Amino acid sequence: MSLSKIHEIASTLENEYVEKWRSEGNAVVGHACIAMPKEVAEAVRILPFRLRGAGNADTSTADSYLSRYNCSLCRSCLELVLNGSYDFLDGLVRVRGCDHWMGTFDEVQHAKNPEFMHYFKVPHLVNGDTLEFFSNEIKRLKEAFENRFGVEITEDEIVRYAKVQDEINEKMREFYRLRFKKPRFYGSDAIAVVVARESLPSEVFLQLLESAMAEKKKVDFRAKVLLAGSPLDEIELIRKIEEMGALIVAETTCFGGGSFWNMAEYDGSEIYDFLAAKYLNNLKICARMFGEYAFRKNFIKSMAVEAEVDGVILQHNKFCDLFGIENAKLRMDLEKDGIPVLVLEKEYASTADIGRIKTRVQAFLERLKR
Amino acid sequence: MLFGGTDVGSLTAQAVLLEDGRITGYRNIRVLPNPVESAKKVMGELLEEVGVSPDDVVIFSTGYGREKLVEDGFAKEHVSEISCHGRGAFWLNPAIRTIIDIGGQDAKVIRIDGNGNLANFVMNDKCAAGTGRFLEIQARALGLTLDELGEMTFKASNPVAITARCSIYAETEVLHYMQRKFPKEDIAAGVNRSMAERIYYLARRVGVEREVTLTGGVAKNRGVKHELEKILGVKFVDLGVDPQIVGALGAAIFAMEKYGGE
Amino acid sequence: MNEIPGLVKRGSEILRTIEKIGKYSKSELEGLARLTGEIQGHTILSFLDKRHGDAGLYFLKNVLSKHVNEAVKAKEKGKKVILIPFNFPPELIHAFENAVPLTTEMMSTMGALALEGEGEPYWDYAMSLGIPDYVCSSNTTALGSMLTAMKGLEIAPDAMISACPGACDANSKIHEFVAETLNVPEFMLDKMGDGVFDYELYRKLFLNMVREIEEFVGEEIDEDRIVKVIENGNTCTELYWELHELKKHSPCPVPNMFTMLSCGTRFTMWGRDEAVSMFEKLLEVAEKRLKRGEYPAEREIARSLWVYTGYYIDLYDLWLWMEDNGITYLTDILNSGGFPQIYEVFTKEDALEAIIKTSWDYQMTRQMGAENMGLRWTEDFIYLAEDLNANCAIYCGHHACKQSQAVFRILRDGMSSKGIPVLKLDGDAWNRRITSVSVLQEMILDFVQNVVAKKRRRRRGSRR
Repeated sequence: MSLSKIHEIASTLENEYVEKWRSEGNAVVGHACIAMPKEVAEAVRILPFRLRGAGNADTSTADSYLSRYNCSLCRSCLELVLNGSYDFLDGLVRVRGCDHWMGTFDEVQHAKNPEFMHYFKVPHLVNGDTLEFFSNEIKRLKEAFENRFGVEITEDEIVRYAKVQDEINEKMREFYRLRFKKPRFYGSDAIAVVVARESLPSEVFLQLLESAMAEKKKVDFRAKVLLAGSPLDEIELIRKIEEMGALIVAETTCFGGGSFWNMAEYDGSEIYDFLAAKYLNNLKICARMFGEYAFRKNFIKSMAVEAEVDGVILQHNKFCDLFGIENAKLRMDLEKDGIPVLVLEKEYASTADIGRIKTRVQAFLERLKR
Repeated sequence: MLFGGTDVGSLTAQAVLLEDGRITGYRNIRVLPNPVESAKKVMGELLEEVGVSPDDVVIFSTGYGREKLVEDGFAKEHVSEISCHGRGAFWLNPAIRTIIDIGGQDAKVIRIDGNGNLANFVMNDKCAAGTGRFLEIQARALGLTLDELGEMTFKASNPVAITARCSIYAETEVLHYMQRKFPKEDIAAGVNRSMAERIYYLARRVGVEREVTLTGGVAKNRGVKHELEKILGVKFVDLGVDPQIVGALGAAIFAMEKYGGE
Repeated sequence: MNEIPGLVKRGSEILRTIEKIGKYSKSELEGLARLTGEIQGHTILSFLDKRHGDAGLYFLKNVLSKHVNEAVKAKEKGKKVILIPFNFPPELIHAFENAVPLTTEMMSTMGALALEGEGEPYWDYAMSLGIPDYVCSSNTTALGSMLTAMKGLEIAPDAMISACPGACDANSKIHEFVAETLNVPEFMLDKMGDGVFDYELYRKLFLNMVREIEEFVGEEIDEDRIVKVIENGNTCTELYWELHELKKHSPCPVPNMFTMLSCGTRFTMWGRDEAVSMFEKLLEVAEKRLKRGEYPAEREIARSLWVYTGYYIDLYDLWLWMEDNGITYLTDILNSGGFPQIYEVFTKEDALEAIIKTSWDYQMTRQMGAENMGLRWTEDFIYLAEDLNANCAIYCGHHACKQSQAVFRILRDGMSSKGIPVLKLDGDAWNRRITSVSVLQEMILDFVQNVVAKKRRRRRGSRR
């Protein structure tokens, strides 16, 4: 029941809980980065809602703003902003996630000029200077919310919601472990869960997750695979890959498996410094964090060992510089360590790609002798 | 017991039959609009020719529509064309370690180990560069048949440089050379060479280990084959069969290996 | 193809040969150039074309050859080679006695200069490593070349600087790949936006980086030396703006290729005496042309401003061809140099502050590192268009730059409001395989004859 509800939420943008949330007079703010400290927004009942493509492959209007050399996920999101699908948002928080997102937000501003678009500055390096900067940047985010929505955000409330996030992160780890040794869920279920987390108030999500975890099922597969690479909400694609027998038992992508394994738990310290360290350290899982390649490689390897996978699929959207280059390096290094790798380059949500992807996945399974 | 394999590509479809570890027949046709129908037609014609009932054959499918053929009950199992080309080539010559398969829409470089198992592979991305389609576009621009295009390499004295990777821009370049009255042989030879270059860097992603063979429709283009041998520094091993049937043969071998002991 | 040396090693040899070129006659030079094959000969001859006076040869000998050969010789002399990206001021490295800069993009631009196959073998090598074919061609070529160092075929950098996190993902990511693969240390900066806090962070990171480099090189920057570097930079800045002023004349007395020569100097030798002499030469040639009223075509039809960068895939056929057809290449955003400024300095601290400000506002860091890349780019572009009286804009990018692709719409809308037409070319500055030069030429000519010239005629008509 809960799992199907989660799948339903993941397949839409403005879900019933968001509608209810809004009808109660609460705000929803769009963003596109896991460095967004959810607890700061939730402390005054602002729902941080992840911008995603939701499987939209039509980018005809967006293509006249961005070019066809820009990432198709960004173009898909821009299309949804332009065609009004995201009109339920009360504003946007932009992050310099990557060059493509940077251009996308520029174009959003050019075309729609939203009333509230706060530039949240997330460093690309982790050191004492950038942590100090980021701590202040989180304060500036808080102030931007306060000014825009006429609210006051107290540190106590932020701490309260930081603890809620801790609880969710712990539950997510527990849920992901249910797929490791004797998998009891499909990877497509897991992607639906993480998408739902990005689209729901925390309390609602926690309840749904807890009951969904009780809905363990029998899972068929030929091989166990870890999925890494660029941010992914393409549940249909995962389903197609799993139908062929490549079960995704672990995954280290952005707001998926990348969003909780390395998140620190609140330790009672100064809240802004704590949040800065928590989010910036976790962000090392993203290819936009320079000088942290070893961290990412080790993270993938440790997950691969823990989940006992047969191979790794590294995926990215065409024109994604960050993960395209990262995946080339990872492929070299993982293969050298004896881990079979398949690199999948795809256009976001493109059905035209499915046949080609299936041939590659099938051959990969055959290579794994599964 | 007979074992069969079908392989449907973007332009042609093949069927192969094996009996007692020998090829008893094969057939190669132009595809129909529906890949499932293509497979059924080519295998049907072959069975009729050999005089065998479909019920007496275990068929494995590969290529387009391979899954649908299993759902339909026509084929018992399906295998990817990557494994099939690898297995087919290895069966014909166990010294083979690298197979370069160039079809109408796809180009693949397949590496196999000493047991004929798939070790690694790489496929072109979805653009037509490095596929039979690329050659077709340029041949049309030159007003040549595909066969004529292949032979031009041996008639040219000074092949032009076709630099664009994209088929559309390459065609513009071809037209540009034609307007400037470059000899057709030199332009055509340039096309064959640029095709070989595209395959070359695909091949380098997985590395090329000897022995190497060339399969798929483009293997019949002597010009591309020659240029590719030159650029890779290898001599392709001739498998002694029509290079287009290697995929279907591989499928039949997989069927034989799995069900031959029954 | 596997075993050719990297761009620096190969380029340095060719450039050393060029250094020997003396006062040959035109036909002698042509004869020499023919020895190098058609494309290579064309590119060398284009530098030596008489419309460039002796500026082209000076650039090859005293800027490019020095830049490259100092890196080659640094190894023998025990100096450190620091690889820097296109958006980092080389003068910081020139302030060191025991370190020399080597600019990534200069290497791939050189690939187009005089080498057989241009940069293509390196690009192919990068492809074989699995680098996607859509990544910036300049950086991809540089990566392929640098990684030949694994086989001892290239000068491996001793350390690398990434000035791009926050400005150019492709460059930063390629640098990371090379640093990881060759196992060399990387010093990094981060630009967050345009605010005071952003500058404060950038400044801290920069000063940290300077300390790290000092430690790595084993030398503290000498005050006199760095002050001299800034003073030389100031002289170059003055000359740069004088050259800019000359571009305002119509027909433009500054040859098209000078944009690349000035940009190439900025990227490599800024802060050195050679850079000062280079700018003096550029100015001298342009002033002479102004005085004599020389312009290669009958009249100047198009005064084009380029959105990002020019094409480096066939110098001879494009820039000279443009001039012959009355199309002036005024400048591009890459060459705007972040609009260099004069800094009065007396101490090492002053000098470092000047370099930090320069680096913060450097070309591309200024635009791509802005809070709104599209707006900043457009503002800078419109400023240049109006200042230089451009009558058209031409975009060159493709694989070379997806950032500029992303801002194109904003820029085009901005230019439309000023009545300036924009041509978008689908080519690649560093990879002729994307679109051949002949196709690009056709598109440029079509645009100039059918849009720019007609617009000129209409404007003239309405004036009457």
